[in-house]
Amino acid sequence: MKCETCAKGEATVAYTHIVDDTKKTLFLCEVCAEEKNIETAAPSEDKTKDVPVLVKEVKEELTNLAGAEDASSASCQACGMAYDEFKKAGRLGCTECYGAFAPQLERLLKRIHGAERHQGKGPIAARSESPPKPPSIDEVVTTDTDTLDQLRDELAKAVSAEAFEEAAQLRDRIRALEGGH
Amino acid sequence: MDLRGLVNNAARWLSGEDDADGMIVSCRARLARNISTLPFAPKATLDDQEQIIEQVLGAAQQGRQMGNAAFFKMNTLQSNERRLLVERHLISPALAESKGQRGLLFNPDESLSVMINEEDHLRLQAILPGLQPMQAWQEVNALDDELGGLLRYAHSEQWGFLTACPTNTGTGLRVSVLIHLPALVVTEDMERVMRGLTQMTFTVRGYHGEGTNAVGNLFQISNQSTMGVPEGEIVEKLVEVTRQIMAHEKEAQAALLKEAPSEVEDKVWRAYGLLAHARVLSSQEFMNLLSAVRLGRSLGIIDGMSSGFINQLMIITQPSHLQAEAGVDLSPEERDVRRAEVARRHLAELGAA
Repeated sequence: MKCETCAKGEATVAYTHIVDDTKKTLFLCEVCAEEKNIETAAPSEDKTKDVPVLVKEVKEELTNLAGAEDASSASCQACGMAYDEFKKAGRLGCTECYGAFAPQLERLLKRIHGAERHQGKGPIAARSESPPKPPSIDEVVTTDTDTLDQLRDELAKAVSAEAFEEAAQLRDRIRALEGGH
Repeated sequence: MDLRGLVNNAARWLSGEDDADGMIVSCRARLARNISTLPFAPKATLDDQEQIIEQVLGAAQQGRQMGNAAFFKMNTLQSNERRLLVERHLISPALAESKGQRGLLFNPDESLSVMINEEDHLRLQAILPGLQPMQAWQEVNALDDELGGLLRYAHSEQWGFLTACPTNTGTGLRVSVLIHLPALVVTEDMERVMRGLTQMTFTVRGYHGEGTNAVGNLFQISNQSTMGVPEGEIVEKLVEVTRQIMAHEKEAQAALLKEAPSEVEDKVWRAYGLLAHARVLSSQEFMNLLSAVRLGRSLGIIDGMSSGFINQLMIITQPSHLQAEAGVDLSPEERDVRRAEVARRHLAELGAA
């Protein structure tokens, strides 16, 4: 569409004004709009505000991508929370979100708390729900904390070697030792 | 239970016990918890919210600590009643303003409470008088044990308790003290103290917590980080930081007294005089006068007035308390007249006693 004033430039500005109680809209090119002193500041102001934010977000995104996952497209299967949505609101949607956004959260939590691991109280429910079973012979030899640490090491190794079956077994043994779940 | 009855309830946290030279009004410990099988606040439907309330109430009824607790659903309360609960530090301003199914459980002396469906499914709180945050932590911890034995909390081995906002992940513990720092405000040393605090991963907030301003020289000091340090150590650190700030405040008080003893004494007694005789007192003026009187008490200028008296007066003169007491809608101007009346009456009773 051509500018309604000079009929030359491309109309990019819709200028709505009230004349005798009726709303009129003029489509103008930028030059004419400027001549008429029309506030085109609103959209362009938005742009200037958006750009640094955008740059910042892209930068963050890139640092997030260090782990090679596409952070921006990640979303939680359980509650449907998209990573972008989380970033905007700063609130997670459900327990599973912590798994879905684990790589990003790992960095974020470290930045917020300066720590990577929880220390302190654990859940009570898990303990009271499964009363201690009489230990099997297998468990008796592995009930000291050294073995627990050893098992954790083995688990870490198994995970990094992508030996998931072994990892799952190790995880179950660790859980059993911790008396959980 | 009628909420209006709360107006004159002697909440435990207002008693003035363990007030650490009149500097510490109260302390609290709160835990953020979520039920692992239900969506967190941003994704919870009204049905989910109902289920959460049911589960929490069910668990609370089975336990001993909340056996005779009062329960209120926020959407059954009028806005003034919700603000009354904010003024009594039982709910956050956010809970008072939010829509949907939200609830509050609290015990008769108001020291233990649970907000349901605030930012997290459960916000457990213990609030006590004076500088005894370890006791507050132990009390909230015991309630948490009880509820946690019946509810399946969202938790991960690595990250601890999982919360809606990552700033609470881990222990979910925020522990704080409400501290009176008039001399540090006058000597303009607050900023320096705040900078020091941030370096120690503690933070200063206003009277009503996050996003609120300091009124009457009262500040809330709380831990910033919730992960990586066990609960007991977080609390110990808070006590340590608080004692340091108290030492700074005492120094500043001593300096003021040394430099201008008559002016300090005059300021205290003028404040007392206004509280005892003024006919119109705005909330802000009242809080500033009460701060001067509190300082006067700390310095031994005013005798025969307890911290408990000051704390109680501070709460019953809050806008929604005045409103509830009156039983009719009051304009801000009418409230200011009422506030002056209440202050006058209480100081007269104190003088007569």
